Amino acid sequence: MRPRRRPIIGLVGGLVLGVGVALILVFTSLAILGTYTVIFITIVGGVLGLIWAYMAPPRRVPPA
Amino acid sequence: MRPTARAARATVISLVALCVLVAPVAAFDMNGGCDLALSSTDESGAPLDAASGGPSGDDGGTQDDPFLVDWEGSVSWTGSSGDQVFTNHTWQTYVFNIPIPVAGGDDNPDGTTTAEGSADVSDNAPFQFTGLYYVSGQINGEGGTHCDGSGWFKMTGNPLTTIPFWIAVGICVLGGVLLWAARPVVAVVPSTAAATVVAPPPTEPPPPPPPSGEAGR
Repeated sequence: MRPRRRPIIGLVGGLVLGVGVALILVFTSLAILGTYTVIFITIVGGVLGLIWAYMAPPRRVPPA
Repeated sequence: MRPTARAARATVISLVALCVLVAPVAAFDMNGGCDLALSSTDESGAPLDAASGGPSGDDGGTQDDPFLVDWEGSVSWTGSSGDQVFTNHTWQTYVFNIPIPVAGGDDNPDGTTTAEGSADVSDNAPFQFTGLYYVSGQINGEGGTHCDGSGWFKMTGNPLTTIPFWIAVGICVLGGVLLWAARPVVAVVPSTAAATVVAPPPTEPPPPPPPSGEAGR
């Protein structure tokens, strides 16, 4: 059966996780990507979240 | 190649490209003829660090040698706009290239070209924070007057004892929960239910019609 995907939740989750990781890096003085540390890690988080929503192993649930 | 695989490959390539292309700021950078000199003190009032930028030379405030700031200390600054007089000006500051609400403007009717001041750090933030920050800013006035600058500063201290660090950890947990919920879902018929599906009873064949021609004999 064709899996039901949730790209919006994946995108938001990735962005939120990216912001969190970027803030931890800043607070611990690890600006690994220079002046674009926060912006880039947030965007990458969103992209990876989107990919995750499509490529993650599907969850099996009984039909409603 | 599948679209998702292409997207994953593009992401990896972008990451590598940015790591290669993004170089840390080489110096405390001031452009447009303005000067800025900063100095900080620690909790006891002893000098902690200094940084400066402008036509008179750049010193400190880089990613490798950030301007150190103590939460319990203070920061003093002296600035000059050089030959320019900023009238009806607006200014804006950024942290990691993201605009922040620290902005303003002034008519500057007296034509002032210098400014200086001092502030206690803890009096100007709602809670303690630590870390390494890239801060930039610009000021634009009437007649095309313009200055901009950027530099790195570091708030000293242990991040584990600050509220913002744990808020960031909470944001990570929230993001993880959302990603967990974002997994694709497949509706499957449970095997027990499939096994208990009862086949419909066989239908009885209709009775053969009575022979019409032999009924009356």
